[in-house]
Amino acid sequence: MMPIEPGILEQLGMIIPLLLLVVFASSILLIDVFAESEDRAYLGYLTAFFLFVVLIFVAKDFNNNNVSRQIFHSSIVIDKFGLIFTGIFIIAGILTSLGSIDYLKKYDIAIGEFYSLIMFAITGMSLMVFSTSLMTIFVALELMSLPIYALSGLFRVNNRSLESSVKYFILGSVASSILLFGMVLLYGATGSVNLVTIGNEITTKYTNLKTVLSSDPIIIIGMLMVFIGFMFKTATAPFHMWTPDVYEGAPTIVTGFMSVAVKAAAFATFLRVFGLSFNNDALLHLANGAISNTSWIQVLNILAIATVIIGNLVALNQRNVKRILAYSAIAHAGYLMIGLVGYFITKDPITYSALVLYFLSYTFTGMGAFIAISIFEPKDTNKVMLDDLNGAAYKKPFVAATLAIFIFSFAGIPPMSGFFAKFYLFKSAYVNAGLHIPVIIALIASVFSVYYYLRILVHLYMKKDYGDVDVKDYKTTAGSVIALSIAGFFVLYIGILPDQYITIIKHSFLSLIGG
Amino acid sequence: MSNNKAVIMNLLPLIPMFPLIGMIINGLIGKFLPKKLVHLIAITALLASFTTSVIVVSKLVGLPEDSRSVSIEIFKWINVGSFGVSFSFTLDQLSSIMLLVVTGIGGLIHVYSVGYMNGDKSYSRFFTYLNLFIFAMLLLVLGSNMLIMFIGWEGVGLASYLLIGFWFEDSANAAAGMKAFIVNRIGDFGFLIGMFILILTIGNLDFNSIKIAVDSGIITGTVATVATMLFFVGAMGKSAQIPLYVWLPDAMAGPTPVSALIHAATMVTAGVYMVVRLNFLFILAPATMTVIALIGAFTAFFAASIALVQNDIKKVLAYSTVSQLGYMFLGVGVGAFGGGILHLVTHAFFKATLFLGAGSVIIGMHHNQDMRNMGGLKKRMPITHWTMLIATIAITGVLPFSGFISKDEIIWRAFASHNTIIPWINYVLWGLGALAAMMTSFYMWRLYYLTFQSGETRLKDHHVVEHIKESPKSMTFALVVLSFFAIVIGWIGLPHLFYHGKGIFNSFHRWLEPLVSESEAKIHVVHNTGLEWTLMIVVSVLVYISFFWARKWYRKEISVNTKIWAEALKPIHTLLYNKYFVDELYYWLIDKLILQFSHKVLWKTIDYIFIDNIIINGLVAGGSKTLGFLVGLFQTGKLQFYAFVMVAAFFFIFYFMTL
Amino acid sequence: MVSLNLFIALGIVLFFIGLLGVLIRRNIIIIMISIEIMLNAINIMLVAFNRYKFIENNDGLTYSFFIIAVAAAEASVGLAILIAVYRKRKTVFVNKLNTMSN
Repeated sequence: MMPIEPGILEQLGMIIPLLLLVVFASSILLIDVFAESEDRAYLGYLTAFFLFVVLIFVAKDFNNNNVSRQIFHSSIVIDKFGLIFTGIFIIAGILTSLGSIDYLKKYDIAIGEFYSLIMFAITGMSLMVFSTSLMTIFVALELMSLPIYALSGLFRVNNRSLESSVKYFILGSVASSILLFGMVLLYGATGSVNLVTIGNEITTKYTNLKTVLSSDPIIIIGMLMVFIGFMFKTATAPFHMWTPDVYEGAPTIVTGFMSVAVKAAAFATFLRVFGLSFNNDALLHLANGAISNTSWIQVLNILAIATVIIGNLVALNQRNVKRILAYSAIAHAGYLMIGLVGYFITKDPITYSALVLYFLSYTFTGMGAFIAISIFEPKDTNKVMLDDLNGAAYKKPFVAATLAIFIFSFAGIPPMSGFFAKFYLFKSAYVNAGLHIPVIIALIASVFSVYYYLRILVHLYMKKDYGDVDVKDYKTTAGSVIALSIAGFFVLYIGILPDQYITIIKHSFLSLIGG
Repeated sequence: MSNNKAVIMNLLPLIPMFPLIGMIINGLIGKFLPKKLVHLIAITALLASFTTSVIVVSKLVGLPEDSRSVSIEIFKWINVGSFGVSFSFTLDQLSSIMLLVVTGIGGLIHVYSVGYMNGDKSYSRFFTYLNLFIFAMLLLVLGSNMLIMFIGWEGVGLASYLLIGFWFEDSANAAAGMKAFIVNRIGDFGFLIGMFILILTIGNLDFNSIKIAVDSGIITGTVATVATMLFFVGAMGKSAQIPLYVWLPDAMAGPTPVSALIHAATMVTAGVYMVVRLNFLFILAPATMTVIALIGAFTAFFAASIALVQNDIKKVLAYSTVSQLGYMFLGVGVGAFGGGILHLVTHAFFKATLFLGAGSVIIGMHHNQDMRNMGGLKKRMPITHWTMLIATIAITGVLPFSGFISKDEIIWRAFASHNTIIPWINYVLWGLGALAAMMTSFYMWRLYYLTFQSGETRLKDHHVVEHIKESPKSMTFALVVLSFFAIVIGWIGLPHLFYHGKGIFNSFHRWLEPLVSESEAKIHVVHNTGLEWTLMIVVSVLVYISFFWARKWYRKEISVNTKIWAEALKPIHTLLYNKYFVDELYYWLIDKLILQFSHKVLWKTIDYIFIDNIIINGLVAGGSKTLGFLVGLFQTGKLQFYAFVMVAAFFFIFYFMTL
Repeated sequence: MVSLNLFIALGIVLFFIGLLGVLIRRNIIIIMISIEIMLNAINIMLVAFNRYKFIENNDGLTYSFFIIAVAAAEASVGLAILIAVYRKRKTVFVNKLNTMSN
């Protein structure tokens, strides 16, 4: 049954943040063309301002939104869950656009398209977390991915950037195809693409789940393929293979955006899809395999553990800072996957808030770290080796100090937000969801992670040799400083006073259940 | 009635806010501001804090006696499962006293610093740190749970470290700061473990919850003993008690206003404050109480004996502070919680006067601190002389100055309180206390006569001697105000002998009664008016004896007699002059024993060869790095290989899920 | 009438032909064509499901247009990237693009 929908104008009123994003993204291109200027720094500030305006709308919606409303024939639901993640994407976008000013200027590619593409990608992400229809999810996913493919190839004269773009494009397209294949199979099995309807169909149609596979394998295969599509976007092992290469080659600032916003969007949508459609406990815990007797939860668990281990172990040997951070991003995806599994098991507000708080913390930490690294990137080689950071702290003390904050936060050292987020996530997964083995392995692995994180700081602060980096490369203007200050401030703020954020997040949990 | 409460709740959070704002402004842009504005900001912050404190305390007085405790939650801080801490402040009888002392004396010392630090190149940095200190101290005093108190505790420690090493260009000063920091870490370790024990036992750190747990018997005697012992270790570090007192004399490396504010009047008394704050917990542990009383008495005695022979004017005052802190612990250790706090208050005033006076002298002497070079400053610095004289009379314990009143109460209670563990210990405690009082009188009059009397300035440099003059008004103003209080502040807590049956009452004890009476009632105290008069007179006589002794020796030029005596007592003199060689003992213990053991056995053998090389570098690092390298081999950079792995994984999971 | 299972079989076979193409062909243009084959295989299945199982509405048919549109957008971005690669590297072979690895 369809809930009664409001009129079309009211429906449009409810997606004003999305509409604004599209309008702003298009107008940036026009402004770039008509307001001729050699120095395009203003575009970054303008984008940040635009995004801030949207953020205000999102915050207003979040405060006013007490009932989740399904609109556009139940393909979109405006609820606090979606709004809180939209907020996260926009924050990542603001930090990206502020942090990109110096970086783009350094490589002489300050173009309006960059900011436009960032905003289109944010539109796609937001639409994706609001979607309750498989088809909307697919379109939104592509709306998110296509700008990112282009952004990672932003350096058209750079081998690595192009290579990263090609790899991401081809592997991403294949993953999208697999995801779409799964969606179509689900459509074929249930006759609907609406997540709630699919969930109901699964529950009512297959009372005896043991026989699902033998009678109608389509659902299981469909689920699996949707599942793998998301595994790819979240960079969960063994579908993480693209991550290090793409992150290394893409422009540093884009890497930051990818590792934060894209991943958050994929995780949030994964949570939405599995929370709404496949939320049947029996199904989740069902051991389908007659031989191996493996349930969904077990598979997810194993993949999460594998992700944590691979991410942390391979990072130990790296000397390229971006590659270290890429593997660290994989490791963090593993921690998040553990939290997600915990949420699927318990479905209580504590595991949920732990997961979302981790995203919030990760947004500031990840963006901040990549912006700081982008400042230290030497122009000529276009890659940041550990040795390139030698003694850099004495040339740019502020940037180095904030980078140290972010690195400590990554490593989970108090009082940074990374510590509390990780502590809360592991605690909720261990105590509330009873995931003992994964959490213990993740804890051990995160001890290893301290080695490669602190290595960055050792090179930054303790190596006296200054390298042969030209000081001119380390130019910072207001944009980067503002972005780093915001990120650093929030990393400390969330780390020291997490309680109010948890309260806000718990509000959004209620809407998720209702939706 | 409720109006009073509302006013308190509204104003209370502002009190620590003012110094915080001052600190932020001076810390961020102080460097670019003119000096006048810098100290104006800092002093205004303190003045605002003090005014607000006076208002809230007067409102607190307006509340009925049994409801003089107002808590306000600023925000919920940590809320993890069953453990929750809120950031909240409590104003009650105890914290209101501390509030007035901290903001009042703090404000005066800020004013004094304007003169003292005039011309220092890090002027704004100094006031930033001072405001930081006041902010942290207010957190410590106002916090309504142990965690907030601990933040303040660490905050004042940080401010103290920064200010001791304020002139860090001289490596000795930086080392003194480091020493204070490290010794305090030992104490803080105890404090932390104590907190963990409380969290384990009652899952909470709220003073109220601890009180409730004590009343309902959840906290047993054993737990209380262990926890309070650990807390007292923390207090030993912060309040410079044996054996952790070694940092305080070295802390005199900092600017003198700092010595007055942090290392005499406020921070070092935090340990006493903590014990009184948790009096209901400490009273459950007679063993801890006995240890506190004993350590307090011994500290009072030993520090006083060291002070007898020191020549550096600030060193004398530093050991005097350690000794007076010993008195406070002796007081709270025998259950005279009110007496301990009273001595804390009176000591804050007269010791601040003494330090500021010493600072004034040091400025006058062009940073010469050796008393052997001083003398005859009475004429050259009249205001400093008179205020120092008042404070000296106060500390030595002459009626009716404040020191007499508070010290007499502690010494009497040391004698009169019955100890359940060692019944005869009260004689020892009284004896140590009385002897320490006698020595106090001696070293203080020695300081006074050597500095202000005894002929003419003995400094050789005539150029400097000609320029010795009274300090600027900002400094003498603080001295005059503080010395006035050094006379009168004791009158709030007159001994009951003086008013017994005369219709006057002891306002100080009446004020604190709701907090401590329950605990104080658990200690059996002998009531014998005749004995009390006798002991009071005995101690007074001892004090007068040493006064005349010191006067005889040091009033004129150092006499031949003195030198003969000094020759005769040379071994003792050497022992005292070298502070019982405690620093050397610690140095030997740490450097020779522990460091050698750590270096040769723990580090070189166990850690370096075994743990580092074999386990960490060999097994863990080697293993994980090799594993990482092997897994990394999959990262070939070939797109189609990646696609292949993904598809293979897809089939693999498919196989597991479906077959 | 041809049975639904045959359409499903056709879809699956086409999909895996496309997947295989991505895995083994070196030329990026061919790889992109393979991706198009995969998407079209999905379209065939979508339309077949609609026609055979859910004849009462045209949802599946409508969705297939979404997919075609998205595929077109994807192809255009892909070609743009390809041109950039060719201009820089003078090659369209994917195995030449492996400057980044561990």
